[in-house]
Amino acid sequence: MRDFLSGQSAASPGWDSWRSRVTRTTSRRVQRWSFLCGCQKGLYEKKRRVLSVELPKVYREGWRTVFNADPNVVDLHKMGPYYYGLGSQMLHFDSPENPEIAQTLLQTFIGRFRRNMDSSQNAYNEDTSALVERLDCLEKALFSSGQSGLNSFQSWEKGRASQLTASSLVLNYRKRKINDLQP
Amino acid sequence: MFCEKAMELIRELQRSNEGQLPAFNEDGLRQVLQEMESLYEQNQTDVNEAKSDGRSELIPSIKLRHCCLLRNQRCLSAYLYDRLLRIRALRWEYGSVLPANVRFHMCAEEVQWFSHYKKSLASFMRSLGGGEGLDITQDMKPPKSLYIQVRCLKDHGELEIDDGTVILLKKNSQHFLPRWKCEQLIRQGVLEHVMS
Repeated sequence: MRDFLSGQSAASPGWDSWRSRVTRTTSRRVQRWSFLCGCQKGLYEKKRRVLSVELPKVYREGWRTVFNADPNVVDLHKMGPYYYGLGSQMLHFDSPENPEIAQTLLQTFIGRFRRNMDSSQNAYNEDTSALVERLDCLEKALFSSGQSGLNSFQSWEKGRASQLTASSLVLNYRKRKINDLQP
Repeated sequence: MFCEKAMELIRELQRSNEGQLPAFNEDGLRQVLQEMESLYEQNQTDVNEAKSDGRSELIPSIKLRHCCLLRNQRCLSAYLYDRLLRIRALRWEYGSVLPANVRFHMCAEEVQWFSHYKKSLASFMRSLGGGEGLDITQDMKPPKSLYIQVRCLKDHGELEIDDGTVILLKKNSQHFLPRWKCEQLIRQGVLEHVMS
């Protein structure tokens, strides 16, 4: 589900602010609308000039300078939880700034990756909300797979790898059942 | 705006905990299908008008509706497919018999799909090992010993072992049992594996 969402730059609670703006040109007037990215792709045609796409501000010159200076200071969750996914989709619209946008996306990821990897591999059995709150969704997915790798390794070190455990799904269902019963 | 209802369905799945199956949102599905039907009808009228009167300015709106139709279709497929993946995982975690509260959240077609999946898995398992059969849902972790020490977490009644002995599984009782008999019960949370 996560892959589907980031691939199509679709839903999230903050999604409404992330529909990129579209300008529809007609011979009579120009209208500005807000569309889902997938619908814009279907309508966008360079030759016909039906739509022109306005980049969200986080991909523009101003913010690109910030990212190039130090990508670690930016709160990517606030700036759009699907920064990388939406950015890759925006490249479809033949903007003249495409090479710079692509470069910034890549360098931002590279710049942030090391810190995220280190924190996911060293935060064992503690509250990680402070580490995770400023991450984009792709980074969050990587962080959680790092954490699950860390937990498996630690349980192997303690000799617990061969211990049979109840399935987490079963335990979650049981918790929900108790919550449903409580008034 | 178009495609909002379809996004609601996807958000609902994303909101639920990892692997949990929320109730089947039949209303939501029906609303999305209605929206698709009305988009399609509007498009049919516009296409006929564009062809007969030569009104080419209708074409962008036809294209927009078509994109929304494709989008809705994709969202619905993703919703249904993700639910099937979760149901499939339930076979491996819970076993062939699902608890009532889980079955309650499945629609009739999903229940049917689950029983087909169970049958396919069972016939595949029977065909392994040169016709002898092999239970591949066992030994998910490499076993270290044939017999294991277990403690009962809740009353589960009687359990018969292969040699005919009957064990009474009472809460907090400890037993030394064959691994293959206990694995399913440990996964379901009835027994607890005690490491010495």
